[in-house]
Amino acid sequence: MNPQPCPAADILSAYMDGELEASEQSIVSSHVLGCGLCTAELRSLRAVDVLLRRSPDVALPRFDTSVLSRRQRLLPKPILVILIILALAAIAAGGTAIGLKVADILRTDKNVETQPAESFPSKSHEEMKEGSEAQTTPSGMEWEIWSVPEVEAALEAPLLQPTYLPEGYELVQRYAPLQLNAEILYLAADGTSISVRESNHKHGNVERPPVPPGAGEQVDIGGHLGIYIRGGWFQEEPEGLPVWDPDLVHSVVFDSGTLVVEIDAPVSIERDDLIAIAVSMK
Amino acid sequence: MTSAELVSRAQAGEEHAFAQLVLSHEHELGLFLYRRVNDPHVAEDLLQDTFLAAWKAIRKTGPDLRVRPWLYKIALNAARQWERRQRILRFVPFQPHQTTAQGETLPDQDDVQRVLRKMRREDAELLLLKTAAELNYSEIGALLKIKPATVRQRLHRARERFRALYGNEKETG
Repeated sequence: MNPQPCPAADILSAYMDGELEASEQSIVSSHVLGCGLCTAELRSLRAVDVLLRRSPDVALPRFDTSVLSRRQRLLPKPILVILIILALAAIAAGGTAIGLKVADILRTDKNVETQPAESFPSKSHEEMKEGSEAQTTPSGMEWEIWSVPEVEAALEAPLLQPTYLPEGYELVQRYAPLQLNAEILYLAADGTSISVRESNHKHGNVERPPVPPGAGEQVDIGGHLGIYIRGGWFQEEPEGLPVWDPDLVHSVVFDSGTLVVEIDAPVSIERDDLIAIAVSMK
Repeated sequence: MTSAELVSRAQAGEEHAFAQLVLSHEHELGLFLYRRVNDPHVAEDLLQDTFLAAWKAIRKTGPDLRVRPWLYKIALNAARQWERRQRILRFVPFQPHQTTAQGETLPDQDDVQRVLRKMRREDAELLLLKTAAELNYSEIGALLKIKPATVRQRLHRARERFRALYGNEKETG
């Protein structure tokens, strides 16, 4: 009979991982040798790890090392944002040739279906909001707040931050995870969030799909040309075509001269309030 | 050449040395990212971003760099950033994914992927960092900003949860 009682389940797991102190590892080892239950449990735990280490049937991604020699992997994406802004400016000025040409960008992509969200039968907007809020604040979520100098070092430019925010929003995230763009997130108790993303022109990391006609509006952001966009793309997971929902979110994109800044906010925040946040960026 | 030498040369800007590091780690990071985001196309994009970010940043790292946990940190941040964008914008794609826009479907998921999707996201992440990534408790703790003792408890719960769900999957599947 085995003189030692069976170790607690998490100890057995740590034993398998070689994470116990040497003396403890030795005690558990002696026990396991004489205990059929623990041997079986260990075998079962190892099977879990084997399953997770096994390659799936899909082809796993590879990295193309030739991109290392290039300065940038993709064309600078702020170009799209800037073109949209130019298009709006040109259209406002009376529809010049460049305006008409670039106005195509504002039209919806042919592969993308647009329809009012209210005609989308499967899920109401409210239901969707409830579902996503539950995901936004999962228990144990780790937020990261980098210091401003850390973010600026990654961004290679002075960081802009709002000096005005609607009541109740608190900073939960400020970082530059890929050293390409900065992301600042403010969260309210109701789970809604205001997100600020900043991209240095020279890195280029602003991605924005075309917006349908009428969804964008030229605005002045403290002397900088900006665009206010009412709505956003919505896509059911995991398949299905995206649809434009004018009540999903609204955003302001502007070019500070060094950075392309994009601020997204829930529509519970007034349009003028969102623009005020953008204007307050210092 | 040892891994330490490769790291040192990559830090000095030697592209060939960095490419060797990529070769050593791309499979495991690709597996980790695929399991984490559940989409091979997104995983591919994130793998590119991870290595490009690493190439850009490695010159700023010090001689004591432990390259595997560091790469996983970048990959994890890339995955989280991608995921956060999905959440924050409430499923608004920044770039409608081509496969979706063209009406194609993702490859059939395997049992492991289905089980991972049923788990709490943080448990699945922890499990992958231990199994696919083979990091130790202290490396995982540093990455997730939790104590190694917490890693131990949570990891075991995650393994038990995976095992139970996988058993159900096999019974029903």
